[in-house]
Amino acid sequence: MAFFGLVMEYDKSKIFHFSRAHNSSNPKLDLSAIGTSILKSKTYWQYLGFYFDRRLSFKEHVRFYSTKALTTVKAMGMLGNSTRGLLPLQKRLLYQSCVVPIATYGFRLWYFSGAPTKAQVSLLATMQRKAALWILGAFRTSPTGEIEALAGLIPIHLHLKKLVKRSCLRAATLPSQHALLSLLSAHPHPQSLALLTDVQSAQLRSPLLDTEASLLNLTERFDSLHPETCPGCRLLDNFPDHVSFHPCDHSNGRTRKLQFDTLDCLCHEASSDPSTLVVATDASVIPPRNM
Amino acid sequence: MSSSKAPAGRATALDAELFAIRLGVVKATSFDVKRIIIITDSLTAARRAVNAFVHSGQAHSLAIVQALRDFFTNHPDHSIHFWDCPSKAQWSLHFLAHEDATSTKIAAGRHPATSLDALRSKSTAACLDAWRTSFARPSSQGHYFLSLKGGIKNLL
Repeated sequence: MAFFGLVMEYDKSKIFHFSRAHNSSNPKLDLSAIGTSILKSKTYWQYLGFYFDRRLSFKEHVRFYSTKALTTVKAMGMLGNSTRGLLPLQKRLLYQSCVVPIATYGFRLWYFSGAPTKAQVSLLATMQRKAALWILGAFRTSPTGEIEALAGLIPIHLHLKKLVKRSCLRAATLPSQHALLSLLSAHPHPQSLALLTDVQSAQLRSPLLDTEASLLNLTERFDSLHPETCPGCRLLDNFPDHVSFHPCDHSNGRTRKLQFDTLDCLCHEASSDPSTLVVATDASVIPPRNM
Repeated sequence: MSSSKAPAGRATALDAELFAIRLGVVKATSFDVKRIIIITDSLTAARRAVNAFVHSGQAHSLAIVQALRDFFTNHPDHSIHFWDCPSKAQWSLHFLAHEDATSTKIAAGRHPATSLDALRSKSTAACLDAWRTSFARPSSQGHYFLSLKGGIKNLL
């Protein structure tokens, strides 16, 4: 490295061993031979706010973020209690918008099919229980499910399940050359799921499998790099004066009547003007339960 | 006056409205006209129709945008106007389209075209259903919650 003019800063170096074996050693790295100190192995590795532990169970990650969320909930306690302060509806909004995103940060790392998640979900459920108690101002011995139902908070394991499913589906909107899509079966890659042996496939537990399974039912295709999506090349950028929208104020009866009178006039004009075409469009969807 | 209709597959209401606008716009631009007036009950779908960013039903938006680009190019007097008309108002021309759409029921089939938002809302509905059924599970009753009266409408 010195040949290329690079200097290795050993003081800033870290060492980390991944292993799922029981009682596996976490040895130090002795660098005294090159005149620097011994590198001590770390228990956790933090990167982009994710806490990697040696077994990749992400218990430390969830513990950190559930504690952070719990601290936030405790701090929010000063904003209101059962008799004064914020309304329960406002407290719920605050919890859902400010606390849940903290608690579920990086959930795709550890929440996927086949992963042991009981301990992690339990930590988050404890945090949500405290939040539900604060929202309702209920007694601390109230049953968890009951206060969650009254506060309108879906149990955290179902919330995570929903987030995972929706997140998996979003992979369809990625560009076709994206690294994630290239690892799925439909796109050949040396490490693709399609190239795994049967034994490997049976043993594999990965968020990629969830993504692949989610995309099976989706027939829609997306083009995120289409020229029409580029700023400056969109239709409204090129022809802003050619397109107009005329909203209707649904709550005001007078404006609504005015809107319909204008539409009547337009239809009357169009019937005598061959250069104007009126098109009425509507769609109907059968509710999913009846499909 | 002419009409056309087509099945949109498994889609949300917004996707279906977007598809309906696509049918209308593509057909309208095939005629020799200068001004097109689209009457719809979803102005959100109309705004999506002329913006082909990545969203559920992007293919419909791209088809509309392509048709309109051809329609506008070299014709400064050509224009399209989207008018909002709520279905509840039962305004004459739109009511005909509404009646036609709601009276048509097409079975989804074995492998229907499925939009992104349809699957996303389905996954959300599945989780809400799981929550709803968890209230009736004997293992949870009395432990995690007591019986509620009035259903989910009495939430906060």
